Amino acid sequence: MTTMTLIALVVVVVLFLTLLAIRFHVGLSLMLAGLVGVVLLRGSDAAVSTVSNQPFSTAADYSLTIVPLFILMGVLAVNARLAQAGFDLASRVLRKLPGGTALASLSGSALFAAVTGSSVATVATMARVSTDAIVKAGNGIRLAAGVVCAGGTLGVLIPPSIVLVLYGVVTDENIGHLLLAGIGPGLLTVLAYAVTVVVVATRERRRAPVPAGTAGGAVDGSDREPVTPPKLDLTGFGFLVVIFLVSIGTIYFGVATPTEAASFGAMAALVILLIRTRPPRWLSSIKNSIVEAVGLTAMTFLLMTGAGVFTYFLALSGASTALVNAVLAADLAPYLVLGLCLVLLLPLGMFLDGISMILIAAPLLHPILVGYGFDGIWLGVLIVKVAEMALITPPVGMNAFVYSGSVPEAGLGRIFRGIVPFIVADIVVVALLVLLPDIVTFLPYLSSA
Amino acid sequence: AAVTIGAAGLAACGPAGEDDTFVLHYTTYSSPTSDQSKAVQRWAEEVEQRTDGGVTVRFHYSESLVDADEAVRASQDGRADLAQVGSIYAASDLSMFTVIELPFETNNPEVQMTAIMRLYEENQTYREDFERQGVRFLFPIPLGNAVLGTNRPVESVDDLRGRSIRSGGLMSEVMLAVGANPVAMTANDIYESLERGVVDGYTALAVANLSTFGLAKTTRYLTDPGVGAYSSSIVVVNEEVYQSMPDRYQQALQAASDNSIANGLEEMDAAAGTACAELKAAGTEFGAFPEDQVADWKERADIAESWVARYEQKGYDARSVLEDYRRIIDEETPRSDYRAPLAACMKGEVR
Amino acid sequence: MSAGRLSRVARVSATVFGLTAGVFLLALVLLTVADVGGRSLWNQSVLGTVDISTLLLVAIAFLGLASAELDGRHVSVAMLEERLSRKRRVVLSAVRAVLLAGIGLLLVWGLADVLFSAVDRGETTNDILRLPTWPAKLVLFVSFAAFFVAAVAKEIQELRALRRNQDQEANR
Ligand code: NA
Ligand code: NA
Repeated sequence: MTTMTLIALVVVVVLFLTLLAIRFHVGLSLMLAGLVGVVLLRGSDAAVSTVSNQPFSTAADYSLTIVPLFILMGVLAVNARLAQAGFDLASRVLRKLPGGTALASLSGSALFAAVTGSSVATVATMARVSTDAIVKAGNGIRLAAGVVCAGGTLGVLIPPSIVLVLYGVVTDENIGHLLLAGIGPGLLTVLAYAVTVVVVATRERRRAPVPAGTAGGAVDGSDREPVTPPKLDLTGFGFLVVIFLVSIGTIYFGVATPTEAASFGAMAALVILLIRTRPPRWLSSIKNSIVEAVGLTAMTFLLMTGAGVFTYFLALSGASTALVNAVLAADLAPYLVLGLCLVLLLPLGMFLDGISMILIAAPLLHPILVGYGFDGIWLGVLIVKVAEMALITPPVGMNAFVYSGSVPEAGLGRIFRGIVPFIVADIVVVALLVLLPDIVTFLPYLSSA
Repeated sequence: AAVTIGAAGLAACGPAGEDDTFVLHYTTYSSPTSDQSKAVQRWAEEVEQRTDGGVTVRFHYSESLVDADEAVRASQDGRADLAQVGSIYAASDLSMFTVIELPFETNNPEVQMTAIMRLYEENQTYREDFERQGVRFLFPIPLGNAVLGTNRPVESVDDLRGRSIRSGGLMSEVMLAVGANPVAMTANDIYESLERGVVDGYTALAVANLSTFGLAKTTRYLTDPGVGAYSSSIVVVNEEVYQSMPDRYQQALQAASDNSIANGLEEMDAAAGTACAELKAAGTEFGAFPEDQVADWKERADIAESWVARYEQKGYDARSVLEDYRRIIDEETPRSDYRAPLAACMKGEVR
Repeated sequence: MSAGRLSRVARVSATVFGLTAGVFLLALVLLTVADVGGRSLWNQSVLGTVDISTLLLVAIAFLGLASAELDGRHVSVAMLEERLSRKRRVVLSAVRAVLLAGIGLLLVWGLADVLFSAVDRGETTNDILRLPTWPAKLVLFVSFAAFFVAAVAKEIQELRALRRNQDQEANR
């Protein structure tokens, strides 16, 4: 690597961090920093061409049609009140357990995750409604904050997941396999979080016993009105299952490729929204859904475009190759390298959401770790899992910020304290995924056998 | 596109380094281990040797620098110096080069390679395309003849009617001509789509590609459809970069290019040999369509004439390019004793 | 044009573009379902689905940029700025406005160049339909132009609001 390349790298990284710090769009920060880097290495003609051609080249890729389609499916499912249905059902079933309402919130997040891939969307949707219910049931706001923020991270593992799709796109791993690979770890995480909820709620209860009957969803001391158990929306819950089955089943039974299957999921969600909406409101509910989906899509593609310019600069600089060679030459134990790479992801969560993190980190980490003989699909799930952990690790994590936006009275300190037990659960899950890789690879390899 | 953003850009612009060293950034859609990349790696090593390290090539594989369909423009506007240009991505930028995609013209990949090279010397229209784009043709990389892999046996061309076959480019038109249903999907999706029955078969691939996409071990019936060489790619260099090099470097590039057809065929044969062994171990049944059916198919598809018409409409003397292409094939065919990999595999001549 | 007028124009065009993208998105769903349905039931695909879908995606991907900007959907990192004094925040806001205008001009100019080049060369997709790419590139140009107008207008509004508050503080 020449001196010029080193200077360019330093300039680009410093510029990128500075732009983030002054609250510039993350996508445009990546673009501007990459642009300056290309000017330094190849001159202004190449730089202008790179930036001007990037939007078309980013989006003119058939396999990426899955991105707006999954987003649309998620938005339609929310507007059809399917997440609420899952939450209500779980509240009813789980109310006798310690932390039953928190468990219901967790199930709601997991079900919501089944139809959307966005952590932030899951947290934003679940925060207010869950927190009110959990606090009313007699648990602390800390448990509520923890379970909602952590529950938000489920969205990227349980398919369909845009983050896993993007990992497949940037690393050329099989997208169908990645989606199936997320199921096992997603369910394991749900289980680990559930255990955490029960443990935390039991300890809470021991410390400050709640008056009998309160935890069962009866009467809050200050509130005379009896809490009526939520009306069960079994149809809504059934529809949620239908969307999941349509989007995964069409792949599994050879009707469609994973790219095409996303359209079937979106179609199913659209039909369900129409069934659950009265005809006079059809037009407005479709209109609201598509406008929201299109906005989220544009945000994602602007990030991807910026990441594209940045990646072009990185490729040109040879930094990734140099990094890969340096790591390989250091001759460390493979699992040590894996551990270091994963830990390095955590600070990224301070600045970036899951999608940006994968777009920046996957092209760097994938070649190094595959070089050490790790399975690319397994790595994808592990990297995505840790990238999501970064969204809840203190002192700064996107999910915690989104939560505090919806529930301002919680306060960031309390939110993070509430999250800590769930981070412990996450560490256990990651350790299990490393020790027992079959949890990840079982389904994809079963499907192709 | 030319604006100058600060003086800093000028100092470090382009591939020329200190004291006459050149670092050429090569962009390709091929993976590092593909036969096509290996052929270019050999070219790069030879260039480096012949210039005593004065010219080195930095490889950017699998579209990691720019997309396949932007390769020509990227090597023109300075995003890359060298590029692999696939004929299926060249319709807009090097339209005349796509003459070599026409089906049923030759079954001999070596002849196709020689024709790609000779057209650059002998046909003005063909050459002008490159000059207009500001790139210089260096050498072709072979791909081989189209194969047809299917789940069920196909004994005649008519058996293709109503079947969904993964295809692409002009091969889709070839498939349409016999009533097949061409399905566009990326090569990476073929394996699973075939397993799950999303499609009944695939084409627009050569034997040498089959192992890469996991198809050599799973294809039940492999047929030589008689379409012949259906696609190829070339390596081009930015003309300005080339002109800025000292004479001896330019000669080194040309000399290495002269060896590259032989190297390319050697790498392709090696990849095809691996696939052939895998196909045989998996018990694949081989077949070929009868010659009279293929001749009839060629007539029905009539793709060459519509190719000429399409580009004449855009002001090209496309007729002259097609005629020269056919003349060169006629001249070169008797001179070549190269046997295409699928035919060799079927005859049991594993290399 | 005043900033208020600018942001009204931006709001209207953002809504129109967003709805257009939404209609394209629904078309993409229907096209794929028709293609897969035709293939599974009658072995008859919709010819050129990949060509059409790819160009549709280019439009869907970016037409919503301006409305996403006005709805505040774009990802940025707010936590550092929140700790600064109002005076410093005014400066940062001005810096952002200038940067947005700069990169906006560069990108819009570059996209125009890409559009003209696609028209000049008669650029088409590489699959069976060989569709012209210029309509998609025109959509790109328009989407990014609207996005940067919206972003700059929004930043200027924020800058004004900050300065108004600053003046009020100073007068107190
Ligand atoms: Na791309
Ligand atoms: Na999901």
